[in-house]
Amino acid sequence: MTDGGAYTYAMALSSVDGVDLKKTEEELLLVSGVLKNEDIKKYFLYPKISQAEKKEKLKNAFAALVSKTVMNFLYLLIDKNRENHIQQISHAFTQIVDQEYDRVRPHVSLSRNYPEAELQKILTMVEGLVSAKRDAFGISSPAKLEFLPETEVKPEMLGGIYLRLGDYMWDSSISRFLRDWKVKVLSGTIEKDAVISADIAE
Amino acid sequence: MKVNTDEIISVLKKEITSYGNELNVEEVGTVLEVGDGIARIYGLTGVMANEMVEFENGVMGIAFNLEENSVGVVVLGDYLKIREGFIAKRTKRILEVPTGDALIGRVVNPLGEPMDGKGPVNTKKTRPIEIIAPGIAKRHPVLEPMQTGIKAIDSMIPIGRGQRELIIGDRGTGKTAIAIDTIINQKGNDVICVYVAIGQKASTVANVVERLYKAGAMDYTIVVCANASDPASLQYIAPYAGTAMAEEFMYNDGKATLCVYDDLSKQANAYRQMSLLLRRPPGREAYPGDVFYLHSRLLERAVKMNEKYGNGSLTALPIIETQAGEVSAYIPTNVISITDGQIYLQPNLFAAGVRPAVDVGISVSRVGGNAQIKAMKKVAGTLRLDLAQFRSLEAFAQLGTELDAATQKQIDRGLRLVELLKQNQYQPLSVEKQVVGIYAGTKGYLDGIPVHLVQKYEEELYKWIEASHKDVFDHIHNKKELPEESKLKQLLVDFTDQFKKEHK
Ligand SMILES: Nc1ncnc2c1ncn2[C@@H]1O[C@H](COP(=O)(O)OP(=O)(O)OP(=O)(O)O)[C@@H](O)[C@H]1O
Ligand SMILES: [Mg+2]
Repeated sequence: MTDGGAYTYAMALSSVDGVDLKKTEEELLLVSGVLKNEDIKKYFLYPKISQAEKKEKLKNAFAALVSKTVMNFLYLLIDKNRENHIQQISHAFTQIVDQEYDRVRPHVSLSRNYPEAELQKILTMVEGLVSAKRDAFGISSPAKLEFLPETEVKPEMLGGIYLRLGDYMWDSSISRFLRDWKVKVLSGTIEKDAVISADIAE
Repeated sequence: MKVNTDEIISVLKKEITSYGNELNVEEVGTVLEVGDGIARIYGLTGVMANEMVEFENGVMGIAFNLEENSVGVVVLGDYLKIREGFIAKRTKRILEVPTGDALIGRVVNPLGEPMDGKGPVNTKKTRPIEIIAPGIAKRHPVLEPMQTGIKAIDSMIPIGRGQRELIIGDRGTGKTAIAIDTIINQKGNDVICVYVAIGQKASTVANVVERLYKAGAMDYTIVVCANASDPASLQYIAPYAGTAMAEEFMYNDGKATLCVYDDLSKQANAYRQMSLLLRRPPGREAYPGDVFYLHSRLLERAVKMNEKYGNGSLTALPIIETQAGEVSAYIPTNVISITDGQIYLQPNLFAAGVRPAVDVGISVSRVGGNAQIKAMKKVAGTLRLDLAQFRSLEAFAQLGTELDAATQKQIDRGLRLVELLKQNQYQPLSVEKQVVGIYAGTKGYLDGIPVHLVQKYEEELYKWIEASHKDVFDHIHNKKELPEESKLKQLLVDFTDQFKKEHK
């Protein structure tokens, strides 16, 4: 199934009457987390096991944990032989919920580990930046944004911040700066006047 | 440019102080897979068709296929250096190439990067490689000649500035030679030439460049090359890039320019390869459905601008290679239908030593006639007819049939005219010499000269006039008309007598 297909299933599920988006999202994450297991995947791929039997297994495992709507959705996936696409569907569903609740997931890379308090400061700054410049990040909603940041340490950045948000990035790392500079030097676009004015500014 | 450490430090300082002043958010995507010069990218949702995309290692690409979940990007450069997971970012620009005086005399790739080891191309000017061709309101009819310096062409298939004339023929029939001679012949005419080599061997192109240097033609010529070993993407964009470089001179300086595309068959092949890799549906001869547009949008850019728009011109000489003379194949028919005429080169003529091997019978120039100078128009009038009659009679002569005197005379004349139109490579002739030579041929002054001496006659005639009757050449050159005919005739009579005496 293409991502487009997964999105269609997720969209259909999200628009069922009376469905609780956040709760359903969690339930889907739970189910997809279990079905990620390689052995379980093999079981569901095995063609000799009847669909009824597969449904029975799902019922035993999840009926007590998830809503009736999600259970029905899982049965439907079995009928359509789509049970192994639950990962993509769950992912697409999360994106739909993100959009509905103005949640954004910035991915922030830093060159080293910072103490918790400092890291929080950085993240607050990033959030402020994204909220203020939401147009530049392709966010059209004017509402207050809920941030779910992820952080990562990349020593090769040397310093600065790298932020990735969906299809957008803001790279203010030292390594990027040096790379750009190398290109400028090699292509001879560094100007003599730039040098002179820098001297004056000193 | 020499950069010392102090300079670097002070510039760095400046960049650091002003660093982060502007928020520079970029739109990006991630490379899903890459191979055969094509990268499939997830993300880049806002990218436009034909927009330039930059990979994180600095390699450029063009967004070619906008699909539901991914973008097909054609990599312009070494795709082996691009890996899965690389970030590709939008540039929000369509592909541009450097332009301007700094390019003249240089050999560059289609991105304008130097390939001749002569250092960077120092120019700040750029132009998009694709533009919409000027409309009819900005154009002017083709009226000035673009002299090729080749007798057979300037007399019977004249080309005008702003025209598109196709050079078509099999492998090794002298297609490139005609184009190169034309470039060489522009010396001193204030014409900027661009030679675009597409899909050729690097050594072949190097030879051509060497020739242009020797002839002093690199003083006004730019060579753009995408060799056979370069990625298909570069071969595809090469003609557009070369045209953009010429357009700078045409639109900004109102200059006359000449673009040679050698050859468009190879460009079409490169485009086919890209399209198949992108899984676009193949059509006739496996070319994609829009291959006509590939060449039409390029050749539409050949133009003669009117006075209000600067009077510049761009003459296009596209070259097409045929397989075993097959002009009705897909690409040849397309380009024939787009251009304003074609110069058709025949392998059998070439083999018989008729070089340039122009088949006068089926070569045409649909607009250049208006651009021919008066003198040439006058002397060349009967040339085509004489040659056509000769061709039809030639067959009889070969059968050894007894011929009446008139027929024999026509055949004799024909043989000498064919001999007269032969011309060596790299020896373009000025139009005044051509006029006098062809005048001598069509008026019968060669009839009494043995065929094997015709070329010698021609050579000495030019030398003699140059030395002792230069006013004849000057008259034709300046007034564009024939000098007084009685005088010209007397000159030819004198010279012919003298020549006959010398070569008894
Ligand atoms: N007028 C001429 N007189 C003598 N030799 C010539 C003439 N024109 C071309 N040649 C020779 O013929 C050969 C083929 O010419 P050229 O490379 O121009 O042909 P081509 O059609 O461009 O070939 P290809 O298909 O390989 O590109 C070359 O060796 C060239 O020197
Ligand atoms: Mg050639």
